[in-house]
Amino acid sequence: MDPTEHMAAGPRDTENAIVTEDAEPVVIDVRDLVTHYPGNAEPTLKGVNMRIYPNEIVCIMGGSGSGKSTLLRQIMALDRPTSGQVRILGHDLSAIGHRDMHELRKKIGVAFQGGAMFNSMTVGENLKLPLREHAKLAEEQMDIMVRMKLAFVSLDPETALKLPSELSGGMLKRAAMARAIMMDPGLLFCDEPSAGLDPAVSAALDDLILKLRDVMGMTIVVVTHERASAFKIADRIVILDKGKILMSGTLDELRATGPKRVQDLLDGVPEETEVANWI
Amino acid sequence: MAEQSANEAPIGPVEALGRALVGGIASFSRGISELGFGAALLVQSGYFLFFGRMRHQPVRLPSVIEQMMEIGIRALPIATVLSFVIGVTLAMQGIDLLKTFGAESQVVLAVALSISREFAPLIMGILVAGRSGSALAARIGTMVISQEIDALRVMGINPVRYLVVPALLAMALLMPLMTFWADVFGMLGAAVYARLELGMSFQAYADATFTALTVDHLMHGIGKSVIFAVWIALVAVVNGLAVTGGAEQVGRATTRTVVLSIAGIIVTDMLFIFVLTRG
Ligand SMILES: Nc1ncnc2c1ncn2[C@@H]1O[C@H](COP(=O)(O)OP(=O)(O)OP(=O)(O)O)[C@@H](O)[C@H]1O
Ligand SMILES: [Mg+2]
Repeated sequence: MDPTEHMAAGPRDTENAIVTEDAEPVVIDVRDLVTHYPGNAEPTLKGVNMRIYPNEIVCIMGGSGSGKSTLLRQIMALDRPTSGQVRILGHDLSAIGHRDMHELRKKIGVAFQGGAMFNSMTVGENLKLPLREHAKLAEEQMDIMVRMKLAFVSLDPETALKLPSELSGGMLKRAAMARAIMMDPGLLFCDEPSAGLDPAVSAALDDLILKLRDVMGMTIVVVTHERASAFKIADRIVILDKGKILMSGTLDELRATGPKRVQDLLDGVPEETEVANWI
Repeated sequence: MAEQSANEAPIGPVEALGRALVGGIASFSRGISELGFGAALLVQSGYFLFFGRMRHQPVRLPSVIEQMMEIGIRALPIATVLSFVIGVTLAMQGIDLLKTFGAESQVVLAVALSISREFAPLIMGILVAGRSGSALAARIGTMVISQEIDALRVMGINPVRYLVVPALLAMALLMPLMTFWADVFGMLGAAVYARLELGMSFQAYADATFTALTVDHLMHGIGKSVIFAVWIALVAVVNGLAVTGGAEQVGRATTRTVVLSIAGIIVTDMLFIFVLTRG
């Protein structure tokens, strides 16, 4: 059976659906995406097809070097594809004008792997940056919003006065999450949210991601290595292998019908050549 | 095994020449593409400076002022000391040389012209390259590695507008001021030495300086300093943005920035004088 069939399977919760131009409730639509970095012998992404629907949490999993970060950069519109198409909220990224792009950016939040907080600014200033750029708000209003978002990610209000370098790894990831949701985006990308964190902190971040979907109605794409975390939060898991989507579906679907390679990946069995970073 | 022995075998002169040629061509083409990138950055910076507001990408005055503080104000103590010392040195050389012609008092003219036309812009250029150019390259390189540049882009903040324009503008505004500052303190240093050595009063020194020095001489140095400033800023940004790997690449980028900035300043200086003395 064609594993790509599972791609159509996803929650079609139209209640919080973001209505796109063609009135189809698809948030991200990736078609035949090929990405070939100059100088590499092979393309990194070899024709990826993927759809992400409103209000779902999709975890992208796959071995090291399978192209997860590359795919994420494409759907964050940070790099241009070699060929193929990426549509986000109805906009074709290859044909979007900079005014639309600017509007689109406001609707997308990104929590980067290392936090990517600006080290020369306090956490509070980091959080205010998107507001300063996109919204005309008084300083007091921005302070209130910073406090609200910090509370949402369970950080003390005093954190706002600290520098990013003064935070622990877990706090930094929360602060990055807070900055990503400052503009109340409909779409959130998280790169390895729980990598390198202890299990308790990692579990708390999983709860936070679930809360963002349930309370704020976000559509969330998470790239992760952590199987436990993916199994807990994912509505759907997309398995990427050597630049192609091996399979996509709910955990149960993958378990029930996935080929051996998928089962191995889900069980954390490393491929012979693969470094055991899945374990 | 075969590979190893090939690597260990001493290479013949033809092969060495071939390798050097290939390396030379590679660094030449890198240089050309970097020059192109720098020129593009300059054009883009001009665009954002004048039309950024229309594209919701305004250049913010506070960040320019912050950069000016960093580049200029905090460098003032060292700039002052350096130019004073250069002034004293030139006076010592001048008096010693001119003594042979019995024309010690002509030292005022020699100092005024050599400082305003040559030493002030050159010394300030080298100081700013070493101090601010390297810092700018390191800051941008670090931001690339920690994904802060990506974070800016996903927030809809153009990195050229947000990072490059303020630094470029601050340097272009401050270098002429610093050069003028160096003019003043260089000549003051010479005046102090002339008073001690020749018993020349400050009043007499100042009068002689104002007779010798025209606005043209001052503008010659100050005009050059603006070109140096733009060159330093572009070299720093191009090298900072070229960082891809880890922290050691940041170090390499800063070193390269300082070397290329200073080399560029010296060559530009010569070309500038060549053109001017022929015109
Ligand atoms: N900027 C780049 N230039 C050239 N090649 C790249 C670049 N980025 C990634 N690659 C290559 O593309 C392949 C996939 O990289 P990618 O970072 O997308 O993998 P990944 O799935 O995120 O792996 P990991 O789990 O280790 O982060 C790798 O072989 C890598 O060498
Ligand atoms: Mg990755």
